[in-house]
Amino acid sequence: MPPQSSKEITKLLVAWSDGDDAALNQLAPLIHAELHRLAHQYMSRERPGHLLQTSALINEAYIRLIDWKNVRWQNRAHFFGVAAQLMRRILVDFARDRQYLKRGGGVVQVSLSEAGSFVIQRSADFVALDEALKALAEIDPRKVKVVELRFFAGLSVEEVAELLKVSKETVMRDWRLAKAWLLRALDGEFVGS
Amino acid sequence: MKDRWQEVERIYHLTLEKEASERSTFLVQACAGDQTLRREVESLLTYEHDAEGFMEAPALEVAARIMAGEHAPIRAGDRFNQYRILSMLGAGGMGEVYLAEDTSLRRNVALKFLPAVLTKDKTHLRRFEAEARAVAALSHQMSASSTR
Repeated sequence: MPPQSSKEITKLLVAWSDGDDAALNQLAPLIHAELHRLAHQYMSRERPGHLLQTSALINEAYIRLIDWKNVRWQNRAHFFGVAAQLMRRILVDFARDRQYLKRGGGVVQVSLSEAGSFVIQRSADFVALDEALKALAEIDPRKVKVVELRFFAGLSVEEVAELLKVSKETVMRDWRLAKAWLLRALDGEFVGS
Repeated sequence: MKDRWQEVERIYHLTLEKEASERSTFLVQACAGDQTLRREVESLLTYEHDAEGFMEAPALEVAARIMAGEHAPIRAGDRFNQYRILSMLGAGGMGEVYLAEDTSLRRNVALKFLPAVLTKDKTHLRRFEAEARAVAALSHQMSASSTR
């Protein structure tokens, strides 16, 4: 992706954070293109024992999408917050579309009671996670921010701490509890508190 | 509600600072007879271990792997719904079979993953379902299929 694309994305991000929903339709294909590129690299490069390349690949992808390190933004925290939400939205939509395609694609789902067998949809996890995050936002919005910045925007603990103006320890504690809480919610044993 | 959650959070982290053998005693003391509070913290603590690897790969990587046709190798600790992968039992042209723990029923099951190319073929899918029925009838172990 040429440098002007990064600039273009930043511009679209500003528009989207200002409430321009149409900007999302222009942003989604750019991110999908990057996903395709990554997916292709996984398929062609990945062999057992070559997993170390992954983090470099992913870092590169995030930088290509949004020039994190060089972003000039009057409010960095706001920028990353918006970028993380955007990533969440697009990846959840991506998973939802895929589920739809799968259903339409003739995959038979057999109920558990019927045959002791069913088709597990791996991509459904994104959609379920999104729902769980909405529930978590009701009781602890900062933990959702931490998850968005860490998981969806791919930032490190240090970067998240700097952006949210809290200590690294606080981010680690938030991250730890948020993961346990979300995993429980995904297990369907969500009881709230 | 907010105070309640802060209390859950505070006790959760305090409990984690204790040695594993002292945790349950500490939890009972810290909750001072509040059974709802104790159960809530306890329930979250049961997910602590499993949550370790959860979401550690960035979302973009997860999505790219899904797009790559879920060719990412399945590893011990990976979760599919309520199943947690323990180890691979075997692999062949017809798919891969893994030993997994059913975390809701607390028992081990065999999980079979069909290659994606097979699941497009209805004959194969039907055969797979028949196989799953046979397995379910033969034992109380459960075999679940997946499109990869």
